[in-house]
Amino acid sequence: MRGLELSALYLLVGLGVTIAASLQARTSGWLDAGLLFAFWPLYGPFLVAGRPQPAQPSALLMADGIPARLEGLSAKVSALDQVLAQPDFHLPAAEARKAEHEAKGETRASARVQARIESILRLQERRAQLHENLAEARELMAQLRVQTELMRVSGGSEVDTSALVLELESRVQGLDGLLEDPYGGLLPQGSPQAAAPASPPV
Amino acid sequence: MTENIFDTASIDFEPKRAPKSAPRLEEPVRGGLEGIDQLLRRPVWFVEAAARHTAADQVVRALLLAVLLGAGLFGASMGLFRPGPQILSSAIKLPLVLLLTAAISAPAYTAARWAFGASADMRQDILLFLSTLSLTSLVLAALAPVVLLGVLSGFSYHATILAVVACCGAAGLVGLLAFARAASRQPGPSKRAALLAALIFAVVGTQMAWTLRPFVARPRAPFEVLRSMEGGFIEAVGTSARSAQGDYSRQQAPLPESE
Repeated sequence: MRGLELSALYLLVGLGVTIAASLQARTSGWLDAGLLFAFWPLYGPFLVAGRPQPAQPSALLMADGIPARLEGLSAKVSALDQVLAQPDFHLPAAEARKAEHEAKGETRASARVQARIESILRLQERRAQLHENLAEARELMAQLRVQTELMRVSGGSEVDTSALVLELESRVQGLDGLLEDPYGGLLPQGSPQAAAPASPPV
Repeated sequence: MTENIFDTASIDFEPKRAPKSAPRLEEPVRGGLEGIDQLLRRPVWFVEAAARHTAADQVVRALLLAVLLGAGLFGASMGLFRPGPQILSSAIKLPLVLLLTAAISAPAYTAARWAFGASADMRQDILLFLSTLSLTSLVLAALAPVVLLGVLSGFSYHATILAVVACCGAAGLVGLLAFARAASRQPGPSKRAALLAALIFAVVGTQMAWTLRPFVARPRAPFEVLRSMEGGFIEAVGTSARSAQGDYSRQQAPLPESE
């Protein structure tokens, strides 16, 4: 088969696919139709096969164990809070200590305390980030519950919660990532605490 | 009471290196310009995440347009070597080379994954190919000014060809690396399938580009949308090798009819 005949066959199939997709209202405009006509082997599987049905959020949540994972992550964040409540991590005390050393002219000791202050600040920053992310994940969870209820009341046809579930899953994965190194690089490489368990037992 | 898993005894209060940046939160892959922005900012993540995306027609549309515009821009800059219809011709043909090659290679990749015992999903594999090609096309678009500058500053035909090859090589390398990293994270024995897919893509792409040539028109040749077939790429390499040794298959290079 020569190139011209092959091209004609390709375009003929493209025309057929485009007409079929347009009749089934799968294309949303001329751009869609044009792309489908020209690149049907690449675009066709996504347009003609249609979008997957939105998954039932409650089933997804149960399958992925997101609520249980959120609880586990929450426990880890609480544990980090306890660490930061210890006297060694008290920022005003460290700053006062630094001022004492500076008043006595002990520059090396003062520099050591300054390094500790910077470490404490980084830990506090990391804790604030974790709290914010956890709060956002909880809000997403609440939103998902509301939308699930709305979906149930409306007969499941008006609300697509799959994107919300995807976003929630992403947030929880992000929290997992943050908690892989809760000290933000403060621990020496290879120490057992450097790699805290990413996911709690659920 | 919560078990304290954070033992503070080993904390080193003397940081010896710059603090690691916190891992960024995962966000869903988006369509349209937002998707292109995600692809440019975090290419490997995007290529991998797009392949896992389930409701992806908007993402595919954005990726197709990115290839058409990015590779089209580079094609136009190549075609500018001889201003006129060659600009439009190259701007259309270069994206076609990439997309038609992907249309052939992606199903082959799916088949290879299936043959090697991995789970096969053609839509995910198409997304993987399209993301990689979009990235390549955007790099090509970024390199288009290099070719443009060369052409406008009076590069010879062969110097222009070399500049085009260098730019395409650089863009292809970026795309290949992103593809390799994303494919290696797919479940199952994906390494052999990815290697095979890269090989198929290289062979098919080379032949496709050969079939749709010229992209940079020879200075004395008449304008033509497609040059006559003259065999395949491998055959042409053999002919060129013989020509380099002084064994020419024709008496002179083709001249335009007017000369």
